[in-house]
Amino acid sequence: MTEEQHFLKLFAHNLKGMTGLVIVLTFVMMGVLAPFVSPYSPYATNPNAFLLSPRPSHPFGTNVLGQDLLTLDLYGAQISLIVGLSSAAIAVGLGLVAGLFSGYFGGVVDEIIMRIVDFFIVIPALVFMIIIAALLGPSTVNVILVIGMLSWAPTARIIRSMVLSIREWPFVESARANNAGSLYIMFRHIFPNVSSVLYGNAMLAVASAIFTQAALVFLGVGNVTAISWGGIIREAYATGALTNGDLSYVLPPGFFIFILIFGFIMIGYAIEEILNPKLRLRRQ
Amino acid sequence: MIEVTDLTVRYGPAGGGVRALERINIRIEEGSIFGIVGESGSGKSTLAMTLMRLLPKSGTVEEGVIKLDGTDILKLPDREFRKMRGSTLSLVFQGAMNTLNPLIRIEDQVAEPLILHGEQNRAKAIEKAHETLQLVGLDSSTWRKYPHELSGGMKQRAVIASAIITGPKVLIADEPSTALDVITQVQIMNLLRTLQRTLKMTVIFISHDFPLVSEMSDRIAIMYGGKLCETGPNALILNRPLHPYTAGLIDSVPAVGRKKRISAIQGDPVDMRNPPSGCRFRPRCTKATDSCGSFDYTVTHAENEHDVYCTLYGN
Repeated sequence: MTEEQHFLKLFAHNLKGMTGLVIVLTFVMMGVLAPFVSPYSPYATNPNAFLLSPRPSHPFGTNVLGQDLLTLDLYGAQISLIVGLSSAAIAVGLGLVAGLFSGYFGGVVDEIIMRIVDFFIVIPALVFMIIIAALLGPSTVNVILVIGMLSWAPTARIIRSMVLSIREWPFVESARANNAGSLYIMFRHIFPNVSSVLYGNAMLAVASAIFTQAALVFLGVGNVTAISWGGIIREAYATGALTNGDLSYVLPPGFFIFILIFGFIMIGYAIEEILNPKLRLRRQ
Repeated sequence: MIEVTDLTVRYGPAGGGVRALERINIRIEEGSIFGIVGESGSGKSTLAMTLMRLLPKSGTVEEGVIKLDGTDILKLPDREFRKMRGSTLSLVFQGAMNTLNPLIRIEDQVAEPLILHGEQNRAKAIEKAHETLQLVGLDSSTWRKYPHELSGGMKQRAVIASAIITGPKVLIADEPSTALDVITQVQIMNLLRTLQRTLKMTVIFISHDFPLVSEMSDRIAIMYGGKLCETGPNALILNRPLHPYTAGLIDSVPAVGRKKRISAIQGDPVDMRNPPSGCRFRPRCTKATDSCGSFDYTVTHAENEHDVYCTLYGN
């Protein structure tokens, strides 16, 4: 059995992991199938049917423009997944490289990178993101970049701390005696030894990026015209749906955000449990 | 042939710091096994690291020449020397248990030096790795395993395989058998000896285990406190040790089945930050005289290439 098969087998037996996977896959299906299953076009407005309460033709009601809310909620999965996954990829990639360089070279390089990390950890990320996103202008790509570039610091710190101990292992010295260069040692020898933490961390980064994206849109930053759960909540708030007790407007997108984040976190925990033998439970 | 002349290595800043090696002179014949014996802190590993040019940042070669077949490897530009490191000169590390990356398959790790020395074709490198693994006595069942799936002796064999895969002229084995049990130790020693003969390598064998070194080597150097005490052919040193330190080492080794009083060398290892003047072994030596305090480590006795650095002889 290869390691990959072994990993999949352990994952399949991990309740958290499978719960998370089912949730995430459900949302992926939702995003992919939205154009085929939604009863209305997400862009079609209907001035005669605005702010309808739930009814058989509109299970979640309609918004201020008369768009079907169920349709919007289904489409919302797309942007959350795209932004969540891509900005997490950027954040984890940057964090990995920064952590490897910082921990491996030490000295001045370490000092500089860690002071930058301190800066990003200390400043309130959301506020900083609002400023940067406002400067860059509203587009989904910009939101991805902003979230990605501003959330790599925790990953960098974790990776650095691991590299600090791994670089002292004799196999690193032995690689050096075999003529290996620094980059080769970092990526070929040290990276596999930190990857278990990295993968678990990546899932948490996705979860946090999904939340951040929703929060940014809710605050009116980024591409507010794209259909997203944060945007639906924002409109609901603007039209006073909350004060009216119009729960079918607010609850579904909020609930979706919560569940999707929960799913990614569960996958993250499962990966960590499997890859870190100290956390792995022995099955009977 | 390796000729080390007046090699002095310092750890720490100029003017201060510690001299881990001082004016070491060694000649190692091509195709021989050269043993270096010494206690902890005697400079054995520093010598190995200097030969590989892998001293830590705090280490500096103050003076000296290391000639490998006539070229001074300390003077070579980095780019030139990198071609030799791991190919002409290979190192088997102390504590082999950890010199393998836990997350890389054995065959890949053994093939690594080839790839790092320019082998583009991975399949070819792996094939060569298989041949080499077979040569060190690891059969195909181990090739695709990870280090934790092998025993200590098997891991050491894999480490040796990765050191010899590039066909080195010189193999430096720094405590290659430490942390192995006696049986495995013997097997590894036999393996090294066989490899040395079939591949016609020069082996520099470093250990604190005097009996083991004497069994393996053609010639031996005894080191103490960063200095040489005595170098010479194995048999001569073993049967007629001239330096009091060598004699003390031999007396302190127990012999099974022979009634023999084991005597330890009195005193503590030399404090390298503040070494005694003259002979470093002076404070612990039972035969020390006044002249030892001004001893300048010139060869005092030389016969049949048996060099001794001690005031008891000559001077």
